[in-house]
Parts: sequence; C-alpha cells; structure tokens
Amino acid sequence: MKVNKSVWGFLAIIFILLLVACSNEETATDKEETDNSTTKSTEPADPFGKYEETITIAIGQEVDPSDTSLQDGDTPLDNQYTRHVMENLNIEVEHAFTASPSNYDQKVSLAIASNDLPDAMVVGPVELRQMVEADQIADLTEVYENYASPAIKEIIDSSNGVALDSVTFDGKIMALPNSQAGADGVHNLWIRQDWLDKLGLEPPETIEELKEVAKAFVEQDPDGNGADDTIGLAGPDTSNKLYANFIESTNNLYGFDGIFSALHAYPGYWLEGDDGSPVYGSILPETKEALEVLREMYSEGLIDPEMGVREDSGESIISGNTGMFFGPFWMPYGPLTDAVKTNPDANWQSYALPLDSNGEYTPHLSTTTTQFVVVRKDYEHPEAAMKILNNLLANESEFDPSIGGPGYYPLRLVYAPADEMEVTTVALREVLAGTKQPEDFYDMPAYKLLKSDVDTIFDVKLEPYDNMAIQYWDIENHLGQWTRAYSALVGTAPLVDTEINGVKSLIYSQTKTMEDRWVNLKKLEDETFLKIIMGTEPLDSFDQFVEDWKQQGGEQITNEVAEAVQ
Amino acid sequence: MLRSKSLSSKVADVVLISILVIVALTCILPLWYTLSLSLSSKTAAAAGAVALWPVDFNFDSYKQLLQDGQFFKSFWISIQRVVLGAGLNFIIVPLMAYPLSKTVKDFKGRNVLMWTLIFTMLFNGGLIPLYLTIKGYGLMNSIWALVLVGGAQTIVFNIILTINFFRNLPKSLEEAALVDGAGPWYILFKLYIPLSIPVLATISLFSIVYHWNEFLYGLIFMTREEFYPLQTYIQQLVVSVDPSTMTEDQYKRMSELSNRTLDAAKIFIAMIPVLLVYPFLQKYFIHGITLGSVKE
Repeated sequence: MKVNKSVWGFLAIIFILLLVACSNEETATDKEETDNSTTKSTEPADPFGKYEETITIAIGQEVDPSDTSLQDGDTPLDNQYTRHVMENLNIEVEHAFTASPSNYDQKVSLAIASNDLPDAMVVGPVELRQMVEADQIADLTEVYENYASPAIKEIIDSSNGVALDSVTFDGKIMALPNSQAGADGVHNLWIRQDWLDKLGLEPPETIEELKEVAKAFVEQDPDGNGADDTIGLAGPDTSNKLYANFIESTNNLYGFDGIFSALHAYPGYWLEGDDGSPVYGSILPETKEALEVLREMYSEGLIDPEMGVREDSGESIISGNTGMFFGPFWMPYGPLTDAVKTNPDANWQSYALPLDSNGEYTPHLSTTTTQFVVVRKDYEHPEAAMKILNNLLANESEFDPSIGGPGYYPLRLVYAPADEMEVTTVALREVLAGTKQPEDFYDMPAYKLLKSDVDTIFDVKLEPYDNMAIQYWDIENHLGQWTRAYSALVGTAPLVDTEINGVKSLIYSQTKTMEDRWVNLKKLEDETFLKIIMGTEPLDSFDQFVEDWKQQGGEQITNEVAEAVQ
Repeated sequence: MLRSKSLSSKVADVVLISILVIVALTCILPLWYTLSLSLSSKTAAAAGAVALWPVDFNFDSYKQLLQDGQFFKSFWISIQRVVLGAGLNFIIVPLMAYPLSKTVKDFKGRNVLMWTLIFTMLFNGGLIPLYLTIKGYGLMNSIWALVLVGGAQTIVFNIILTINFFRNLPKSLEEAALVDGAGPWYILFKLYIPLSIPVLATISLFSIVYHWNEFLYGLIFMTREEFYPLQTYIQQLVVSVDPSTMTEDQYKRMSELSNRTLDAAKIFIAMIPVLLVYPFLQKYFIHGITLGSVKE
C-alpha cells in the first residue's frame, strides 16, 4: 500500500520536527527573569550620577521595522544609545517588549490590562490616567524634584505649568512629561502658488475668497493638462480627522481646522462659555455655521469628493491634483518632498489664512505635552528613568543619527523649547540676509538642530535669498536639509510673521467619565459631522446630535471638566 | 457539446460567465495590483499613480528585500509554525475524530466530550486571560505559543469535519475488519486514514493557510520583532498610524522611512508559499468538503 507508506513517512517527519523544535525551545523562551540587583542607591541625588553597581531597567520600546539605520551589527538593544547609557550611568537597558509604531499602543494596553508591566515605558495621556487609577505606577514627585536636570526643568517650566499639570494627580507627579515645539499645533493653509499665479489670483484672505480660489482651481484647469482632474481643497483621509481635538491637538493633516477657526468654531475643544463655565466646542452654534459652509463647499465640488474614504490624501498632493490643504509647518517632511520630485514646478507656499471677520488669525493651539514616561510601582530605581532622560537632553547632539535613528534611545521623550521652529526661522533669515553669521547661533544648545541649520542653509537656498519660491531652492544638493529649511522658511514663516490670536482648550486630558463614554461620543460626533458635510444628512441633524451628545454622557463630562479646571 | 442551445440558455451562459469573470477578477486584481506596485518606483507609488501596470518598472524593491534579514527570519518562523501546526493537526484530528465518530452505545462519554469541544468553539476567555495563561505556561516568545493557541482554536472545526467523513465510510468495512480480528488501532491506521486522504488533505490545507496567515498571536505573544512570524512582521509595516497621536518627530521619521513598493514586494513574496501549496491539495480539497458534508 503506497499511500500507507507515505502517511507513515509523513508522520515520522512530523515527529522529528517536533523533537527538533522542542530542543530549540530553550533558546526561544524569553529571558523575563532578569537579575534585578536590589542594591538601593545610597548616593546623594545627582541628575547625572553613575550607579556604582550596574542596574537593569526593562522597558517597553517602540522599534520601527522599516528603520534600517543601525550599522555594524548594532541591534535595538545594543547600539550607540544603550552603550552611552551604560557607560555614563551604568544602567543596563533590557526590552520587556518592543513593538512597531502601529502596534505600540496595543502592546501598552495589553501590559496595563494584564498588569504585566515593564519597569518603565512611554505612554500617552489616556494610558497614563488608566495607570494612575489602577495604582500601577510610582509617585515620581521626589524623583522629579531631586533628579531632573536643570535643562529639563527649564524646558518643562517654559510650558507655563501645562506640562506638570498634565502629570499631577492629587498633588503627586506620577509621570515625566515631554515638551515639544508648539508650532505643529497650528494648521496653516498650504497652497500651490504657481496655480494662483497662473490664474492671476491672490492668496485667499477670507472664507469667501477661499471658495473662489477653490472654484478656480477646480474649474479653470490650473495644471493645464486639459483634463478635469484637479481638487480645490483636500479633505481628511482615513487616518486623519476633520479637525484636531483636545486629546489629539497636533498634526492633523488635510483637515478643515483653518475653516473652523476662521469662523470662530472650535469643535473638539473645551472652551469657556458665556457664563464662564466650560462648554464643548462641537455643540456650539458656530460649529453648525462652519458645517454649513463646508457642506456648501462640498456640494459645489470645491472639496475633494473622495474625502473620508481616501487611504492617503497625500497621494493627490504628490501627483499634482490638489491645490490647497491645511497642515502643520512640517509638511515638507510629508508629501511635499515627493510632490516636488514629481513636479519641480509645484510651488507649495504656506499662509496663516483664512482670517476671521475682523481680519485676525485665530487658530486653535495645541498642548506641548503629549507623551509621558511612567515607572512601575515597585521598581527599585525609579530615578533611573529620570537619569536616562537627563542624559539624553545633555548629550543628544553627540549622537550620529546615520548609525542609528534617535528612536532607539531608550525611553526617548522629545524635549524642545516651545518656540524652537520660530527661532530657527528667524535665525535662518538673519543668516541669509547677512545681518548675522552662522557662528552667532552656535551657543544655543537647547535648540538642538540650529547649528546644523545655519551651517548648511547656503547649500540648499539659492539667490535671491528673500524669495522662497520653489525655483530658488537647490533640492538635489541635500534633500534632508532642504526639507528642514523649507519647513522653517516656508512652513513656519506665517507663524513668525502673523500675529496669532490662538485659542487653547481648557483641558488637554481625559476626565473619568470620558474613559467609558468618550469613544462613543466621539464616534457620534465624527459620523454626524461627516454626513452633514457630505450632504447625506440635513444640516439640522446637528441639533439632534447636540441633544444626543448631552444625554449620552456629555452633560456629566462637562461637569467634570468644570471641576477639573477650577 | 450540444449545438441545439436555445437563445435563453445562451443568454444565461453569458450572464453566468460574466459574473464568474467578475468574481475571479475581484480575487486576482488585488494580487496583480500588489505585484505592479512592487515593481514601480517609490515616487509613483506614493503619488498613487500605479494602477494595473507598473510605473517606472524596476526591481529595486526586490533587491532591497534580499537585504532584509528580519524578513527571512520571520519567513522561517512562519514555515516552522506551519509545519508544526499542520503536523500536530494531522496527528491529533484522526485520533480524536475516530472515537468521536462512534455512537454513544460504543463510546459512553462521547457526548460529554463532544459538547466540551463545541463549547470551546463557541466561547472563549478573551485576549487578556489568554495572554496571562500563555505567560503562566512560560510560552512567551516561543513558537509553541503560536502553534498551540492557533491549533487549539481551529482544531474543533477540523475534528467535526473529519467525524462526518468517518461516519460516511461504509460500516461493513469496519465490521469486516473486526471479523478478521483487527483492533481499533489497526482499523484507524490501516483502514480509516488511508481512506480519508481527501479530508485529511482538506484539514491540512485549512491548517496551513490558517497558520500562515494568522498575525494577531504573533503580536501578542512575541515581545520582540525577531520572534515575529511573517504575517505579523508584514502587518506592522502596512498598518497606517494615526499621525495625531505621534509627535512631529515621529512623523518625520515615519515619512522618511515609508516605502510602499518595498511593502508590496514583501506582501507578494509572502503569498507565494500558500499559492504553491494550493494546486497540490486542491483536488482533494473539493473532494473532501463535499464528501464530508453529504450523507449517502
């Protein structure tokens, strides 16, 4: 029986494989049990103090699988950063888990839910709150006071207390906050200047003018290819939102933030109402008006008809179909590089527009603190996390990103002065104008990239030095520097040149009831607004939304916010 | 072929064939698109300019892929997982299906056992308990977490399929063997298994495809990328990240690194093993499904 034999042969192979795999298993099991030497540090509080005996810290680390910058056999666990931490602080970094950026949050949630925590990790505001309530993390008040380096304290204080407020629960500092540049919370209007020039138009100052420009872009074939394929204003794709909100207040790409704020509508933000108590921006009449404007624009075809279903709205920017979009200053790091590579004439310029009815620019502003380092409750060396961060800020310029991207630094948080980009823009302008020399900016260590920015500006900027149009840049010479310089001199310029009457949210973190209800309320909001704009529901369904929102927990949440801001 | 076809049956043919062609296209086009994308230039892919034919045809993605050590590590882990998972499945399923295909008269505890199995198919403890269990067994970062958990979740269905197949085998065969003095082991290995190649091929195929494609457990039970099976490795590359939860600095890094053509090449290569297995098992597959379901 032939079949019979082959069946037995197959079984035999399987058994052998099972045995082989069994013997391999030992090497594959995780080395969870690390020799946590329990030597208490007895040394006095020194932010940069080196431990006498090596201590280990098991962290959760984000590792980008497409980052191939590590060289010479370095690994996410053994590279210039971890070696630096080992040499300077005598701390051995281990990985309790690693995950890609897209899966990191899930891993963190799993760790929290199963109470299987690493010694320290980076989390967002929602997770921070969960961990505080579950009593999983250590009180870092003393650690911060005794061990935070002066440089970190200075940067954190520059946020006017926002950074510390967001980690203070019942008067205790429960996590170490980051602090990043404020510029990425403002969403500029990016526009194809070459299209404007071709059609003889001016940058739109008001919503009405914005509509006219969008109409011209859609109907007058600005790319001159004879086909009706242009989009006036881009809309959000599946991974972006109609507008940034108080939890995710930065970096909303292709949203309608500029239109909402020009109409003094701040959906997704907590504002001070007429009676002084907090109200939620999405349920105010201004938001309804703004939705009406967007609804008209959409029905007239001025907004990308495929908004909300596109996987990436950047695609139509790169391919040269889109004429305008809203986005933060760093869009050259996003689609604009490829857009210019595809079409060297694509002259994307950035404006602090449209203005409100009084001619003022009134965007919503972001929080500068979005990420936190937390330490497990029973970890023996909570100050180790603080020391690792001190070490980062003090030595960041020494590292060479080309042999391992900055993301490999353990527990990395961004520490940047809130005005980092604005200062860079001004400095570059002064160097270009010849009023200052690059050397004048060498002594500003908090502005980490400033030195290389002023040193290389002449590699990428061509004469005339005060004209930022795309044909006066040398993109081929040094793409990386072009991206950076263009982000500063074009992307950030409106923030420097315009008086910004920005609006802040009263809070940028969740309250207790939000934990249970917010996901549903947010979904209700997003769906209703998208349907209103796309015309599948009447404008008046907004009123029904307001009712539903209040009933389904919004009222209670509003009361909690009122308590929180008092 | 009969030549005397009425008009209406010709119309019906046209309609049916066009429907089948459309259905076939919906299956093939995504594969074709992925292939085109992987052979296009990066800029064209980022601009969404690639449709059915590659734009700026080149093999850069595949050259780059050859240098990606983790891709091949994960590929090997997936192959191990499939061999172990499908192998275990192949061993356990007949051993369980044979006794369970008997009536309560022959095998007293049969119904209790059967309902226990079906219970696990309908209800489960959820992800966190599963995670704690696997951690408790010390199986984190071990290939056995993938083999056993995945196996346990699919095996009941395979057992039920096989039970039905066994029950359809002529009773007289077994009776004849009993008369000749064969014991149950002999009957199972010399009679049932050789006669059940179609269904065993089918369940092996199910198991192979499942173990090859499953990615969630890799994500949950493996704490480091070096232990990821292939589909988990690919999943983390292609899932888009919400930029608003990132800092500016992260987004910059991501946009500098994003590479859709390379991702497409990886996806395409990852499809090949299953595509290769299918033709060999397909004839049994169609056979097995129908035989297992119809009572004669």
